[in-house]
Amino acid sequence: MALRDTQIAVEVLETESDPNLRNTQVAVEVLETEANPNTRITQVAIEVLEVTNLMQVAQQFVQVISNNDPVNTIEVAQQFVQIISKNPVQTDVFTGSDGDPPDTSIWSVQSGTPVIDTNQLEFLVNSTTPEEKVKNKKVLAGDFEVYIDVDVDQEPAQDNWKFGLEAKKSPTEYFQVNREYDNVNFQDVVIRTANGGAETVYRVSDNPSSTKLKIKKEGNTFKGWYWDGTQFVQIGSDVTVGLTPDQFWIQMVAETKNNEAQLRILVDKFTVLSGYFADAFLQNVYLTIIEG
Amino acid sequence: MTLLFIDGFDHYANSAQMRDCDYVIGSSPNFVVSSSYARFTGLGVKGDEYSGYAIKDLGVNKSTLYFGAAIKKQGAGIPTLSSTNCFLEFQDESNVDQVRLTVNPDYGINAYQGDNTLLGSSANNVIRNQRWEYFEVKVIISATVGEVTARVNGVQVLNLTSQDTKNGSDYIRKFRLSYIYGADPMYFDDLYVDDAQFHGDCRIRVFMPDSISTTNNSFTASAGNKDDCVNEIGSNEDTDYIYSDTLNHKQGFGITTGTLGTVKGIQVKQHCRLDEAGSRKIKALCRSNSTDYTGTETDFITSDWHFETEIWETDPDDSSAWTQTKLEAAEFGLEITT
Repeated sequence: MALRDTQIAVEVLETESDPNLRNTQVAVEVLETEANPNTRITQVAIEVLEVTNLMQVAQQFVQVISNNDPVNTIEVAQQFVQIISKNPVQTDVFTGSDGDPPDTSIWSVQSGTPVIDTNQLEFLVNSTTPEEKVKNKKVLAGDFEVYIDVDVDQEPAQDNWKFGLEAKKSPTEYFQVNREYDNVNFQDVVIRTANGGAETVYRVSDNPSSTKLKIKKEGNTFKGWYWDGTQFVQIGSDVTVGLTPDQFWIQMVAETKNNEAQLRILVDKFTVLSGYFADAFLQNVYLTIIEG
Repeated sequence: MTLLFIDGFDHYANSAQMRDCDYVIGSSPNFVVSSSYARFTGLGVKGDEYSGYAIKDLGVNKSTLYFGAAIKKQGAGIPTLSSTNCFLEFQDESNVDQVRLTVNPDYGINAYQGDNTLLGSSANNVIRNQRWEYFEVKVIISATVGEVTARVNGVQVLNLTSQDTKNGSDYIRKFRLSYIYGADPMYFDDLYVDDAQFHGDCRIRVFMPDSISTTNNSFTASAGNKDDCVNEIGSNEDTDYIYSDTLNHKQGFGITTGTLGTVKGIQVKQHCRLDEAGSRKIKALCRSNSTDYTGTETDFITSDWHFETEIWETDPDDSSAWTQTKLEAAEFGLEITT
């Protein structure tokens, strides 16, 4: 008879006078408070409940009140439009295929063939085409603010050329903000304005190749600015053109004289920030006031 | 008199690891540690459903307790009234409920004695849906002069005095975190327990070692650098650690806090165990202004991973408040003392 032993296990009861202590984490927790805790603001959203067609509402408003008080109609209407027009009245960023004319619902080409080029409006003037001009199809009324974003792409240092934004009532009543060159004053940012008489000129000696030109009308006072790369700089003084209720055509004009080399201007954006377009109805109101 | 315990929940690997800090966790899937439940950064905890609870044994009996924590009723559902399913409870040393707190259907706070007697209610709408609130409560256990005073965001919403709050012994030993009845989870973060005062809206941040003391440097690293063995957020236990079998060995580490607010106190936690049979105790170590200070000696360390904690409300070197400069100049760790 055999004795089978399939396992011999020796169990030892032991202890250590110096057992290992393992430490796998030391965490220092700090209880703190702030007398002046930071307040983080990641979004300020102002929600406006608005009607779908602000201008239509404004015009209806004018119509209603003009029946009773035509003298104050325009002034009140302007205030109303200013208050409710949180968005630009009109914007054109000149999208389209290269070679297209500017949006025909907005612009009327007065001279030359300004065209869309890489989503900019290109003005190209030289000895062959001395002038290119576009005029907004709608006449602008009330207090208004208009500006354009401009890149002067090619500018000959020859006498003389200019490009600018113009608010024009008549050939002798206008307000222009231009980039210009002539052989006396060289490169300037210029206001040219007239109020039924001789032209007045204000100059700032600067030649930003990428700038904004801005016109603002309050009553019959006009102001003009250009963007110097950091801020808007007012050119010259406030001037008076026309009467408070007058309406103005908005134009962009490039011109060169004396067989100059080519001037190339690219307009990135046109914005009517405030004001309102006077349609036939409002023109009737205006005429009522004048007659009154 | 003293801050008893703080917990920002930032250094736990999961809720199961909270058991190493004398928490009883009902159900790990329903009581969860996650960054999703943090008030600011780091981690927070969520109690959800009946089994989603954590009961913390403070290790000391107190007849007066101040409790504060950031809480968030995460769900948008209307709470269901219950005197037994409460987001916060205080228990005695025999697990008897002394005082319970619930969010009622009007979004007020109901305070119950442990026998389900309603002690009182706050005004309606003191707790909001899906908003962090800093909730604080003072509880005095007494059959005649018991008290439950609660604050939300520093504003007193409940002031119950001369109450019978005694359902068991004369003490509170444990608090229980859970959910809002009606299946709304409750988030908790930045928790403190004190026996003498409210602290107001507080935040708890955790800082891990990032440098090694040159003075107290007797332990051995299981691998790599010593500070890298003890700095994992989410303790990695036996993956890497420091160790020593020698009495009176000390090990210290430096921390970097960056800018701090007003520091109400610090708590040093060691996640440690014995890997052989024997008897060892440790003390937390704080070296400040070139002097070593140690905390209260622990119970015997066992073979289970366990968090040993020590609180220094002020710098032991000058008994004034901790600051960024002091904390970043100090060293923290442990000493084997038995």
